[in-house]
Amino acid sequence: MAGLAAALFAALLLATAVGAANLSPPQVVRALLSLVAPGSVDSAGYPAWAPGLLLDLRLPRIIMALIAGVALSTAGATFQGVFRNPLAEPYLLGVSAGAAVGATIAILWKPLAVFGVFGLPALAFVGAITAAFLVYKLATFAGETSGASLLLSGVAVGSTFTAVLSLLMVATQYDLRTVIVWLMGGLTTASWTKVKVAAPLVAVGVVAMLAHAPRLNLMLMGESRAEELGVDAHATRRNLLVIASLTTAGAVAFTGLIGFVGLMVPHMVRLLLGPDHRYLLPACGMFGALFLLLADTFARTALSPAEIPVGIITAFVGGPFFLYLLRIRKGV
Amino acid sequence: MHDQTTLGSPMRRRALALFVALLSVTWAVLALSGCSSGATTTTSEATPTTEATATTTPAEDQAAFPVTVTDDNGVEVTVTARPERIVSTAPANTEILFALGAGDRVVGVTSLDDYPPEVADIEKIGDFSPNTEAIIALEPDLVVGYSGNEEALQPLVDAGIPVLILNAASIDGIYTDMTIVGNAIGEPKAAEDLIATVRVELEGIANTAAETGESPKVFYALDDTLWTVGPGSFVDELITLAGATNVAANGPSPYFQYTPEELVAADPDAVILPMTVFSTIDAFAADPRFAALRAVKEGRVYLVDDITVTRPGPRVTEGLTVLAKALHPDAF
Repeated sequence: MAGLAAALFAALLLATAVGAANLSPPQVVRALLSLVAPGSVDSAGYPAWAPGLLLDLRLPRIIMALIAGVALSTAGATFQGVFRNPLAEPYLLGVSAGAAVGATIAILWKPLAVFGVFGLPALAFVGAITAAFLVYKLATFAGETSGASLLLSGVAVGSTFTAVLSLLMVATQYDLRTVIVWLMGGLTTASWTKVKVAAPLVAVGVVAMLAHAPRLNLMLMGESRAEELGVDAHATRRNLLVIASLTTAGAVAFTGLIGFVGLMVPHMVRLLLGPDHRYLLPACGMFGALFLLLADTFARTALSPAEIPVGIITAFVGGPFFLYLLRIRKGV
Repeated sequence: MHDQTTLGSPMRRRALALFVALLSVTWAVLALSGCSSGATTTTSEATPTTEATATTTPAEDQAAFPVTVTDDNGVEVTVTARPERIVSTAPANTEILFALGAGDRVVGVTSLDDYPPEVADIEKIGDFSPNTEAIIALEPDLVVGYSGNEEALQPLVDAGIPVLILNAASIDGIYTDMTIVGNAIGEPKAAEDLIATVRVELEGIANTAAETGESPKVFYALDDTLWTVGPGSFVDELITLAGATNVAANGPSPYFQYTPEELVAADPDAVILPMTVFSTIDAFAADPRFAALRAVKEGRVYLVDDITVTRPGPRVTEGLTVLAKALHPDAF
């Protein structure tokens, strides 16, 4: 864990130092110092725009990457624990499809521009929550919600929302690119205002998930066994799914659909630290933050000044990763 | 899910150590490379560019500042001094700037810019989406943006840099944009002259086309899925000026999609295909659904260089010529 923290710190330094605006590391350091301790640095040592750029552009984006990384990976680990399924991930209960429809409506329906920069995230969030709510309600029969029916319901609602999304995409030509770029996930429009909204939302969700870690451990043994040991399995599962979905929705509303983080990071961390959720969940959070930060740093510097949507980077890592998983499992 | 391929303790620690080491190496490498490539942004350029550079400005132009212009979003933008470092986020804007004689003051363009040839040597600040960091690093004192760039350019507005958002929806709109830019860069006379030149040329071509006495019905294809231009788009205006009737002139919006049935029912005299989408007319002409079209049977399917037709800048005259030539081959 200490290693993870060190790696995270190193990644933070790296991410702050690189970007489309060419600043050498000494310039970055001087600019940062000028922000922290004004007057302590000779202003000729860095371009005049550097402190503003670092403070208002790069730092919020870095923080947003951390927030999204923590949200998605912790939620992913929670989903995998609740469903006891290695393919479970935060978008399972319609969150991604719902967010996509919400965001697309916000992009296409011009009158909504009056809500300014929060219109799209708000609508994406509402869409995600609506979808998740529908999935849960439709999967509940006589007060019972089984894992299998949740998965099926997730597929059904997800497909329907995706169909609506496709319809919306076909109806536009000039906004199509904007929609597609959002769907691929990206942190380009991160700002302190957005961070201030996303951070508390995600923080509350993550802490709540961490608090459930011991119960998650018990649920790994199967629901009847968990019940015998005093865990209200149904309530725990429902609560965890709600919390995890809300946290995911909160992240996705601001970043678009960044894939594979919620799916891969728990596996990677489980390989290193084992399945005990009391260590797994926090470690997933840190590793997810690290992973997404590195991915986004690469995404915004590799083809500078063009930006690769970060979801593409995570997907590129995801494919080979699953091949790797396949190979080592066969060996077990 | 209990894939207990947990690595043993020593291996685990080694993996983490390797990871941190890798990160540190990456940081070091980037730091070193940053030192060498950081030379492009000089540390001495901390002064804002309100001081005149080596170019001598006529007294009357200096008297034109400060000037307040209203951009196409209705925002009032004040330019306090003659801009010497102008960034353009759209090819049309770049062409207007060059046509007004400000080409040597343009320091940033998009990778989509292709005219005039000098833009090849100008720093690129993004493609469809402008890269905020790259623009800031160029220390502009005026940004000529396009509709859709508002969020990306907001940090520049917040930093007090004048940002114009242009969006020409008609030929008059193009003239308005030329006036706005001309006033903002201190070349109002050049803008008037440019508008007059373009207007006269357009009228000349329109008159020649009108003299043919013909007004063929034409379908203008924006792509290969029958998206076309309707009322309210300046391409529709160009078609009318070129002495033709747009079959889509009664459409529901400036850009909308035609169906094959509507096209067959409209049976245009001529069909115009864009060179940016089609390499030959065969894809359209050989399509069995359109075989019955008069335009196909009479061989009046034309491939045109659509860049000048759809770019709302000074070369709209070339765009009109291109259209007029295709529709009235004998007159031009």
